[in-house]
Amino acid sequence: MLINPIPQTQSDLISDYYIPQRKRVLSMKIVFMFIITLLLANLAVGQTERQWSDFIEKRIAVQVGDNLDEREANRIFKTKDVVQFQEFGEMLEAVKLRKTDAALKPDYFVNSLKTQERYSDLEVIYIPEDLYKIEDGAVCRNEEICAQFNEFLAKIKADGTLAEMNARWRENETFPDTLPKIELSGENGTLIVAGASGFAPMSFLGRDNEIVGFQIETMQRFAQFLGKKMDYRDMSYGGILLYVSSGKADISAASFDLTEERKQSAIMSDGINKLLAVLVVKRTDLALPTETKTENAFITWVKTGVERNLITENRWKMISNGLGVTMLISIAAQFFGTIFACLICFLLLRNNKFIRWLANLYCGFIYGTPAVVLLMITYYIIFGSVDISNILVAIAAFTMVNGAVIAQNLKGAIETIDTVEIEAARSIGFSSFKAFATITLPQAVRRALPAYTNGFVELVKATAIVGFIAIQDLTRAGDIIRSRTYDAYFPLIFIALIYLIVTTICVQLFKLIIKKINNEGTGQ
Amino acid sequence: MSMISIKNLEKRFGKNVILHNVNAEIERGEVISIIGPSGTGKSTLLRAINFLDAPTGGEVFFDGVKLTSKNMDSIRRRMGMVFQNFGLFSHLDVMANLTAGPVKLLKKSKEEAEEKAMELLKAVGLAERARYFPRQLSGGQKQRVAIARCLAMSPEVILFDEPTSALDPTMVSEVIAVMRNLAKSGMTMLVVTHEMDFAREVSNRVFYIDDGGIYEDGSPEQIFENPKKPKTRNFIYKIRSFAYYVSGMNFDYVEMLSGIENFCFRHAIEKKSANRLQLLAEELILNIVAPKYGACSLNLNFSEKLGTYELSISYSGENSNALETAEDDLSVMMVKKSSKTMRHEYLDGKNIITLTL
Repeated sequence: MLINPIPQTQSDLISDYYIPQRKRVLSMKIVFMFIITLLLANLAVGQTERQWSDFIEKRIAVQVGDNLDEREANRIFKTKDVVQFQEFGEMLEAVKLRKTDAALKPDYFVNSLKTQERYSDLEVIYIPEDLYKIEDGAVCRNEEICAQFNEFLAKIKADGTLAEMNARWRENETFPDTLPKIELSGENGTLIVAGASGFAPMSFLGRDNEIVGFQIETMQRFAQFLGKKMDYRDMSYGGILLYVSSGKADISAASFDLTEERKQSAIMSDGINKLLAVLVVKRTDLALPTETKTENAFITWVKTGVERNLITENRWKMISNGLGVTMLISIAAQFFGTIFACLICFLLLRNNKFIRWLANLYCGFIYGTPAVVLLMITYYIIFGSVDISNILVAIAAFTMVNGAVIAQNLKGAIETIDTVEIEAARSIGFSSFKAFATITLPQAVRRALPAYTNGFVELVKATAIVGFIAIQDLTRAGDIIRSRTYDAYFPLIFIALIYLIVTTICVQLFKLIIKKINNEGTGQ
Repeated sequence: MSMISIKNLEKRFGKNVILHNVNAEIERGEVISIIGPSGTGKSTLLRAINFLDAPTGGEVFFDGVKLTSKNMDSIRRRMGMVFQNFGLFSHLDVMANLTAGPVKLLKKSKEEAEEKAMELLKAVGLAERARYFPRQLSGGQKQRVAIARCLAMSPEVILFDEPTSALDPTMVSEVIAVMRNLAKSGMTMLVVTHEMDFAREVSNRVFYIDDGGIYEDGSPEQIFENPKKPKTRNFIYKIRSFAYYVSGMNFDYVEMLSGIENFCFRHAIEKKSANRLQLLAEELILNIVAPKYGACSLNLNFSEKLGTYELSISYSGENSNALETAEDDLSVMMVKKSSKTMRHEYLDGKNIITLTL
């Protein structure tokens, strides 16, 4: 918008002077001067205090699930250009990188944003209160919990606990990194809470790799109010609503904005705090960044990155635990997937058309569905009413996926074996099973192994989605660290590196195995 | 008791009957060559005997035991088979190819199996290739390994399914040599082959397969020197035929002549002979047969093997030899002069005059 469109009269001017050569040069000069004047005027405007209305018809970012959603952004800013984000941190990065002009959000994070050097180039603009209506609340499993939570809210509002909590977390530029001591008796059982640690001070990674923040304290106090223990489960923000609605958790720590649609399907409590809507925008009064990145700057970046994201408070432990979880799921899913694949492959090679059709249908279903959707289906539908560890659910889901992939691979390999060899084995007196075991299978396995290796690497990478069902794998560990350190790039790059190293090691291991197997068959 | 006895064997693929009503008794020590045109079911017969493609009718007995799909696994240990495309186990080396059967099926110790395998490899001249993989061997070597692999099971009979058809011509002899030795040692063999020299010299019995069964069965001398039935003869003498139907006096004789010319050209018959054949056909039909008897048909047979031509004319009517009753003496004289032998037959109301050149 720096260069305004030339007014109609002005462009007419150009055509009037177009014919005589010298006059044309003169007229171009006039037009240039005009444009430059406009530019300067625009810059001058930019340096004055900006208002929300400056962002009308601009590109606005919103977070999925907010009351200030796409429709609201359309309405307030009269724009069709709305980008939706799953995570708040990603929205801020998009604003920093000018991928979007402004981020629309309730104001609870404003204080913490000011304290972050990383976001010093962002500023906050308040939107007049008469333009919107924000209602938010916690999602509850059932009406009973909702009623209890509302009762609890009324109590903490009345006795000043809420004011105290607000003072602790939200009203100052600094806030603690641990929770106050809250005694939980647990005499009435356990309160299962689903949350998405993402942004301070609401919920974030605190000291000793514990998730802390305003929302967590609220839930602890609610658990105390109920006389229960608290079991906090962290997951991607997008997964929470389903998690609670399906009864896997009692209540959400994260607050959800209350929309008309949601009132139909989800049970939501009263609002906790009155929230204001703000726009986060990039400052315009900053000097242009000077490109002075030298090798030194890179080394410093790595050093501080390692210090902040890995060494402080032993955060590397989260990474190593996450890696452990990733590898556990991958290896188990590969192992069980292989066994499962043998079964499917057996069915795929039957003469019975119906059985073959069934097996093919299964493989087709797996091929045609995104892994993340299958994971959710496994979690909420297949194991919906069974109380088993989330990691087991992930292993089961990836076993299903991997089983189909390996089965097709193995079937393909078996079909390439020369039928003459099988006939030759039969003609010596091998039964069909023995011929399969001694001739077909060893050769098929050899042919299938390269694709099997690739399959495993794909699997390791595919497990990055388990964050959706509250598993802290390698990817999720990186996200959590990012939420704490506000360092957008270092954890991402570090985690990418770990994936790369792990997969490379796996590929090399498989290659060794393949080499070993190919050297067999010499009879010695 | 015969070693293998085949009774009313039938093999069909869907509606397509390949073999029917096949009967044969095969004695111990017989080396039987199975010959015949392509697509007549030679390989099918072998594969039906050892149930790789189980017969759809009839029975096969081995040593008095009726073969079924169920007892075949144990019978096959005594009935080896050698394939056109070798069928060596490509993930195993030569030695392991030979010992797989004896160790896994006959429960021999590995040492014993390897010792025997080594002897067999020596016998087929491949002892030093014991640790090679099949992909490292030539076609002839592969086939010799395949034969040795069969022998490792100490079979009582070996079925060979076109063992030299997939080989480079230079490698055929090395495989034939091994088979010749095997025959000398008294092994019972059934060999589907296109190698007529092998069939003639090595085997002591020949099955000529045609018309969905064993069309002619006899000693090599009988089949090769004096085949009795027409199809056998055609096959043995590699006879090529040309037929033309003459509708009457006004037939398109240019078409007939160019037909003969094309036929001669296709079978590389020299120009001089081609001209003679054309002339002869023209004289016979235009001047001798057609004027008197009207419609007739011409048949021209050429034996690649013997280099002889046979020209026959058939026409219906009463028993009469056109050459004797012909009015055009000059034509008859010409015909008589240019043909080696002449024959007249009367069969089923048809006169047939056959000339050989």
